[in-house]
Amino acid sequence: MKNILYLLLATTLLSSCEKVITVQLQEGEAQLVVDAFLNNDTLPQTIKLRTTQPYFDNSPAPAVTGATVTLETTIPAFPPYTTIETQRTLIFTDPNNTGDYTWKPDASNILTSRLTLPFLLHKLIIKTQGEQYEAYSFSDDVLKIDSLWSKEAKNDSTGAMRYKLDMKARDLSGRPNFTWFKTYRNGKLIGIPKNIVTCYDAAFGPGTDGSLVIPPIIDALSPENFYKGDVITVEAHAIDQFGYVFFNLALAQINNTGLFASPTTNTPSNVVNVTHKGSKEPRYKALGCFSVAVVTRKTITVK
Amino acid sequence: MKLHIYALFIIALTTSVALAQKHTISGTIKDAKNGESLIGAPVAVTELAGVGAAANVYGFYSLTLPSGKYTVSVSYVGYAVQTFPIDLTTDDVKLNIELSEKNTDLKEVVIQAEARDNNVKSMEMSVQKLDIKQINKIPALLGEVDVLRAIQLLPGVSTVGEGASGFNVRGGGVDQNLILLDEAPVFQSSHLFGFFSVFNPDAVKDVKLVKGGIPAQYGGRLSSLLDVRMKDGNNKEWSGSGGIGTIFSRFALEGPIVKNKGSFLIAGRRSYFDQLFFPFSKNEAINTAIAYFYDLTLKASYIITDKDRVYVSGYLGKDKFKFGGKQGFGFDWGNQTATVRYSHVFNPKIFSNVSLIYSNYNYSLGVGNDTSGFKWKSNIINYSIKPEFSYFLNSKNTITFGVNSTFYTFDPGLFTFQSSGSEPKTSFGDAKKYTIENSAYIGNEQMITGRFSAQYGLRASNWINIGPGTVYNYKDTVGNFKRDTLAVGGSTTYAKGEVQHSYFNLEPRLSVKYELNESSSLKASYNRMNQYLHLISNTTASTPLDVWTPATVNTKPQQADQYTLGYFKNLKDNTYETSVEVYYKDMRNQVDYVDGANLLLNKLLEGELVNGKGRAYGLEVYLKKSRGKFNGWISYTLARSERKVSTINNGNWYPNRYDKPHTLNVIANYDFNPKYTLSANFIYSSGTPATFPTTRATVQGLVIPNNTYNYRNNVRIPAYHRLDISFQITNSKKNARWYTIPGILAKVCKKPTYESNWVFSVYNVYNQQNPFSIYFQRSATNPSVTEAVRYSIIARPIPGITYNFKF
Repeated sequence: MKNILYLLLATTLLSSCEKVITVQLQEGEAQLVVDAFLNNDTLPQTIKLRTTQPYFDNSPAPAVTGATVTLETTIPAFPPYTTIETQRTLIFTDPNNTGDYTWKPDASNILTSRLTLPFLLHKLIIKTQGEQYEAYSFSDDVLKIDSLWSKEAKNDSTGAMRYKLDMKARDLSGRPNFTWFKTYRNGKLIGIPKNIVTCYDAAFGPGTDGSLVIPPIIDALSPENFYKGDVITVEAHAIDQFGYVFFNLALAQINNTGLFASPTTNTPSNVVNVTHKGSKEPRYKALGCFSVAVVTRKTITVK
Repeated sequence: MKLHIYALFIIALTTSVALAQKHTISGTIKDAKNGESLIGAPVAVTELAGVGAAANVYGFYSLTLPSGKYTVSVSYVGYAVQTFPIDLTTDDVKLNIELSEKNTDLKEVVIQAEARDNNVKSMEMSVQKLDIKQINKIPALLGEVDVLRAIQLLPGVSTVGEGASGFNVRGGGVDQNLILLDEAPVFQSSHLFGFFSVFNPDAVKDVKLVKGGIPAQYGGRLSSLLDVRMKDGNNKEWSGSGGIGTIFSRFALEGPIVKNKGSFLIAGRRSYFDQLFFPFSKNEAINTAIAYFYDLTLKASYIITDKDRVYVSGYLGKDKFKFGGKQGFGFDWGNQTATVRYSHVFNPKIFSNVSLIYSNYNYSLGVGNDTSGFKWKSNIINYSIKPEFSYFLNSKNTITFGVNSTFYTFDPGLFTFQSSGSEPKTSFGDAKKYTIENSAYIGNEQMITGRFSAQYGLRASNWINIGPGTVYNYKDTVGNFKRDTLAVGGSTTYAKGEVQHSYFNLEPRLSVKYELNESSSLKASYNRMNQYLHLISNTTASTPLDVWTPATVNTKPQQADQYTLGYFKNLKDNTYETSVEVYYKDMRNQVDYVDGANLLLNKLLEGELVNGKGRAYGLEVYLKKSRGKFNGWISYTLARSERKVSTINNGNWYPNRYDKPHTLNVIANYDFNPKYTLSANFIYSSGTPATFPTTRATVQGLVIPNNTYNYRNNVRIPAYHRLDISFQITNSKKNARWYTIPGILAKVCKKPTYESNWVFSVYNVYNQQNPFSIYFQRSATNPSVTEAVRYSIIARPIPGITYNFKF
């Protein structure tokens, strides 16, 4: 929206201007930041614990080490699991004191071969500095990417043909679904940190239940130009509703610029301090998000 | 109880009809040249000091006096004074007056088209009037004069900044201004995001902004009334006017339908930057872009008999933008209004007017084309009937009363989308809502003693939500989260015409004036206002795409009480007008939003709203020099506008985005002679509040700004200041050669004069890069670096040349 106005003003003899300036900011206390987006992949699952840092501090975020991180899940009594309901506790460890707490799936055990399956409720427990934090996430099933293909866009300045993705994927009907799409180009995640592509059912809000994912979302899967020979993977993560809200509110704050900016608000977190429940003291509050997703992916080669 | 006493008070005063033999003089006051009624023209009785009347908005006046012979005079600024001997010994007298403009070499500057001592003598306070001739002098952006940009130079009026739609009056929101164009409400007054207003200056006769002491006649908005009256059209001869500017051109034509009886006016504007600049751009994004606005203003009036007049007026305007070619992103908005008014003089003491009003504000947003993409359309339509009466009881009392009934249709919009050509079209969103607003009022303007006058009244308003529709029943508020509907009985469905909910409110109004002496007075007022509409906008500056939503059982109507006190003094035979006013405004049921509220296409929107309260208070100082070669005004406003919402800023009061403690406006004109005028204005205002982050959190590679203490609007961006200048050259030619064009234009061509006017202007002379906002982002060149960016909408001096003509 800002760009549109910029364009408009530039062409109407007006001139808007953006200039980097120096601003003195108020200091704030460090707070726990939880980055826990987990999925049912067979790859190791990582939860990053960090603290906030001064806004203009461009060094890596300070790690929170020495914490106890566990994930509790009630495993139901139906296939592929056992015939009795089981309480499963997974322990995430940080042997190198980097603040990255990891758990590896074990293919040999049915209970721990994957972190999740559709329709499980997970409870994350983090104990650090005498405080206990808890968060919940419910894993949902993921939509199916029926087909993914590349289509010609336009020649670039060198004359080479540019390509972008097209996709046919239908939202699961009957309930609200939240999907996070990630695009990898030749194995590298692209688009971040500029954008996170999410959809609510097939679009941006309730009302498109069971429809095909709409074009603006498909267009966003191609944040850069693709060329012949590129290997592109699109992943769909069935994040929970809070994960969807978290991303959208965070992006709204990150891209909150220009004429249509909205008031700056803090991005909420689903991680709750249970030691100091309801406290408004900043030091007892955690930021970040815990979300468990079932994932699906499709890979193509641009031709 | 208070209200009962109030009602008794009104009855007691209004029934005090004098018993002595009395007669009435009445009629209309018009401009002799074009037949335009002269709003507010004062009629004075030479023999009776302090007794007089002023023409109403239709140019009608009425004055009841004891039997006798009198001399009445009409002196309207810019017009020659006329006096008439009147014999009221046996009968009522009808006197229609036509005033001629003063024929002096140096035309007197008209800042205000009314009596010179109006500032002190009038009952009105917190009222600002601008004559179109004055508006024309103010240096304007790109040389294009604009009614709303001029209004923003008056005390108590502000805006968030360039590019913000609408304006804020005395700490109120942009939705709290009742903007009337020939009595029809205009829901969006902006073209091009507020750079220009929808009012074509060629068609505007009179602009009046009422900030406080609002009479009982008006209601429906909390903060102000902006009453824009269109010209009636010249009923004597053909005339035209227009202008050619850098961004758009204007043309207006007016003339008699039936000489001296009927007239019409048609005025249009269209921007052409998309035609002039876009096609030649090498940038693909620009040469495929669509961006334009236009408007058309129409008016016709007809004098049926001496006692009956009919007026028809209409407005049609649109702003349209589309970027990125056929598959791109586009949006548009526009107003349509129509008013039919019939005024009738029952007898010399009773004047009436009945208005039928239609207003439609619509806007849409879309991506892609018809076979693939989505489109969202929204509108608010209303139909209104408004009979009003003025009863000129005697020289001391003028009673006004009337009713108003309006039917609203709110269409918050359906989002229609199609994933691909083979998929069915799907729509979702919120259903239409229907409401009726009824009101009735009675008011009296009374001279209690020679020095003490009062205007008091009562307005009753009633709001009814009717079916068809569904009303959702929500759980109680829990913190800063959206409310869900009840598990059982979450919604109630109503049939067509069934009443869902209704509100009834009484709004007392009172203004008093005490004249300390001939040149100074004290005035005070109180008014209560109710507003049954909310503008849903969570952007810091309002945009034309914000959704209007009605008060319902879940969203209470906004309510405000305003108290004002003012001292008014004129100096040097009314050459200088000064005033100092203070006000306090208490606002209730202000809507705000839970964090992350989904405001668009959400049928459960009401569950995402939170209720807050507001307060605004301030001091306004105004000094105006209306006459002489050097004229203009200085206004200074010291004000605060704050809000308190349980879920925001830890539940403490915080300043609104449009809170500006200090605002100084200096407007100066120097008329060298009738040909050359130099004008300048200087503006200084405090920076608007903003929320700055303290820390940052990194999640999934996103660097998220965070304010540790959860404050809202705790810092201010730097102050705004700007100087604009303009130079005008006006030429008057007689019998120019092209007047000999034959044929259809023959009538036009008979006109003996052609006036042209060049306006050279520079906006933002000393190149101040005023911040609209300061925002925080990751550097585009190095994503690991966060930076603060100052965003200025206008970042260089902007020259403008406009050629205006009149014939």
